[in-house]
Amino acid sequence: MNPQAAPLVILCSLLFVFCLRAQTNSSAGPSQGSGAVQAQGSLPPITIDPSKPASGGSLPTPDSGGDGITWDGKSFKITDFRALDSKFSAYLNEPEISFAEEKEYGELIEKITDLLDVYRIRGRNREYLIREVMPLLRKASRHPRDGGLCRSIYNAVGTDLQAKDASDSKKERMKELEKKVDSIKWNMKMAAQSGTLAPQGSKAAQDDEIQRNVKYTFLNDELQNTYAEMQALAKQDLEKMGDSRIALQRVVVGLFLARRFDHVMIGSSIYRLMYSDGAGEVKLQQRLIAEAAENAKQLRAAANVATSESTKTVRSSNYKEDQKSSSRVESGITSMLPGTTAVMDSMTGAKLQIAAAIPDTMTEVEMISQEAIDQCNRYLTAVKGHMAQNELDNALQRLQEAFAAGENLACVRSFPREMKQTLWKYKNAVKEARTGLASKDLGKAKEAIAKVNQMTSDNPLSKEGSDIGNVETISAMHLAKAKEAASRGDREGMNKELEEAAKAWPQNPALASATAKIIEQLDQQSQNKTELRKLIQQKNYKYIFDEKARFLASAADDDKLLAELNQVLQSHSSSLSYSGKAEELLKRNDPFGAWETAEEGVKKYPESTDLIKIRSDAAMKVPDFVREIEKGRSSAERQDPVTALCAFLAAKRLYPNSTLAKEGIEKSAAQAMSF
Amino acid sequence: MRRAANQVGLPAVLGVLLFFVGIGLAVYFLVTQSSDTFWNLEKLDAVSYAESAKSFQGGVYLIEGTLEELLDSSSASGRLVSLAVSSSRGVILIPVLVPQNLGSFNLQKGQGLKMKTKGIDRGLLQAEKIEKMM
Repeated sequence: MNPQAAPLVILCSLLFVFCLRAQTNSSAGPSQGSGAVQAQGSLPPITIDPSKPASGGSLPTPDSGGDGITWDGKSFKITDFRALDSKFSAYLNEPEISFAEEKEYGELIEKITDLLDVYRIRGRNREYLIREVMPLLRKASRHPRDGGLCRSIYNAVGTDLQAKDASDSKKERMKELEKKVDSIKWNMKMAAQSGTLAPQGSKAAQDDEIQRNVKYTFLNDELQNTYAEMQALAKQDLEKMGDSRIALQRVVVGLFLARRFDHVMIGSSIYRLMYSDGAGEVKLQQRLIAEAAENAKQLRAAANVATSESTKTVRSSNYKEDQKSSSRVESGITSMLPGTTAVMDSMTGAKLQIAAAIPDTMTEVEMISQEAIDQCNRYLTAVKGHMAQNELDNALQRLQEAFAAGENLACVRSFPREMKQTLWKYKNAVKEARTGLASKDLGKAKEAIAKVNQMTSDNPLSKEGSDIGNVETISAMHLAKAKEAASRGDREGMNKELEEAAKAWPQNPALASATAKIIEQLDQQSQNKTELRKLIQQKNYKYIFDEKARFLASAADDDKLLAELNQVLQSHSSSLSYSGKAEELLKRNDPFGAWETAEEGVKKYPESTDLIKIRSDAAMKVPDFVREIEKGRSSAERQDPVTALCAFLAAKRLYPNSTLAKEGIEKSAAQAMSF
Repeated sequence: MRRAANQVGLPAVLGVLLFFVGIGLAVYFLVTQSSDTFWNLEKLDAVSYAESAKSFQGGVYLIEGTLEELLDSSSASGRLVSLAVSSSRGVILIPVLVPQNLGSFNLQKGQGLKMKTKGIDRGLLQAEKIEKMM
């Protein structure tokens, strides 16, 4: 066995034996007749008898769901094992030619099983076996799909027949030896009687007695040797017969552990035909336990094992027998990997547990095997039912369970290929979705889930589909928060939110672009600040006002700059009110008023190009008025109030409503009179 | 030389004197007896005044115009009014101070006035005599 595959096989076997035993027990109880329900659901929960000693460290225990085991604190499901899954995938995707072979082999097995039917073999003997069954068994053993299974049964039967032949020859030898014993005994009797007529006490009589004693002694030795040989022959015969029986039992148990239930049925039927020992007690347990422990040792210290062999000759008078004994000595590196030792210890325990789980009788082996076959048939019926209702997930699970229980059963192997193909496609779609979910590639997962949804009416990923929506929302929310933080210039907050968004959905297509955009925005913000400071310095308030949204966002984190910006915006708003008013006056054909308003605005907001332009436009229409006002101002500045007064009076004459002129007149008049 | 001096007689001298006296009397008559009392005053160049009032400080000017409005007034200084004066550039408003001593003169908006003015401090025209124009 491949050491790497060993734990898996052991686990599967253990799990399955547990399941079957539990089911067999439960089927005998009140729950009998619930097979149809069991076929659609998972296997019932199993409990291990705590009274049984747990040898070899921690043992796998079935979990509460009943469809898996817990070992060393970890939960395993049958479907979790990659090797099993790959086997199941290969089964689903089996080529057409392989399927035809499987079908042919299955028919052959069914034929043999039929020949070994319990009612058919009643009253039959070994002749029937040799004549009817063995040729078919031989044919099956040569089939490419057999894999040595029928061959092992065939060989076991052959061993038994050889033992029988050897036993016959030994019986003949025994008869010869018995005759020989009779002969020796006669001779000894004769040797005991005196054959001479010489007088007692004479030399001739003494010589005769000496000769008879010697002869008797030889005959006695020969008799003892003959008895010893007879004893050895009888022992050998018994052992050989026992070995051949055990060989067949070993094959049957091996097939049982390998879940080759069809072959178990064949082997056990042959056993029943060959040995009528009632319940057919399985006598292999002790030997199997010893073998399991030995195997575990071999696996554990495969790197360095020294095997020594010694031969001891046992002599009994002139009969000698060579007895061989071998011992295995492990030395050097115990294990290449510490973990391997631990696993192997557990394996030892598992094997012992298997031994404890092996049925006690061949009848029980048969019963469990038959139950497994029936159960697989029920699973397959359920699969077909689910597929008819387009419930592919349930169908796949049932088929997987049937496969796990009896992957080599004819009924499983010959399941319709087109149905397997449908389930294979469905399995791939689910796998794709799960891969997407595992790698948080939600786009891919969403697409795959939608595909699964189209394929089946019992989509197992509908919850995950909803969860994807939630995760997308969460990611989008964090992105929005990151943008908001970036707009505030909060680089730390932005980074945190981006990390959260990435954590929720690493492959969010919006994430990369949004991140780039946000960072760019943040850089842009920094640039905007510089630009704003420059514009304030240049008093380009109009541009600042036009781009106020951008600058407000950029200056949000800089209180001083924000205050400056607010002031600029406020003053520019006021200047806009002046320019609006001036424009309105211009429209109403009041250029004097427009000029005065613009002039007032420009005085307050000299940087307002709008006002300057409007003032200029108005001035073009009322040059005399403007000139007089300007003259009045300049004269007032030159401390010439009378000239100023004249100018303002002239201006007022041109535009009687002039506020500037009125103010100028009042001021100049007062100055003029203050001599 | 003596003969030559004797040739210009006393009568001639007296005649000349009388001539001048006559002219003087005529002038005096003309001045004192005429109805237009501002005839001998320089008329104010309103355009120039509006350009630079300061330069008119110290001068006496005749100004004729229509009373436009009362610009300011104080009990100490009097009333500052504006006169709309015709000029080559059209009507120009000229401020004139009507001092307290002319306070009795009744000023009315739109009244045609003839004023004798004097350029006082910073060229402000102060009325010395006012006459209403018909």
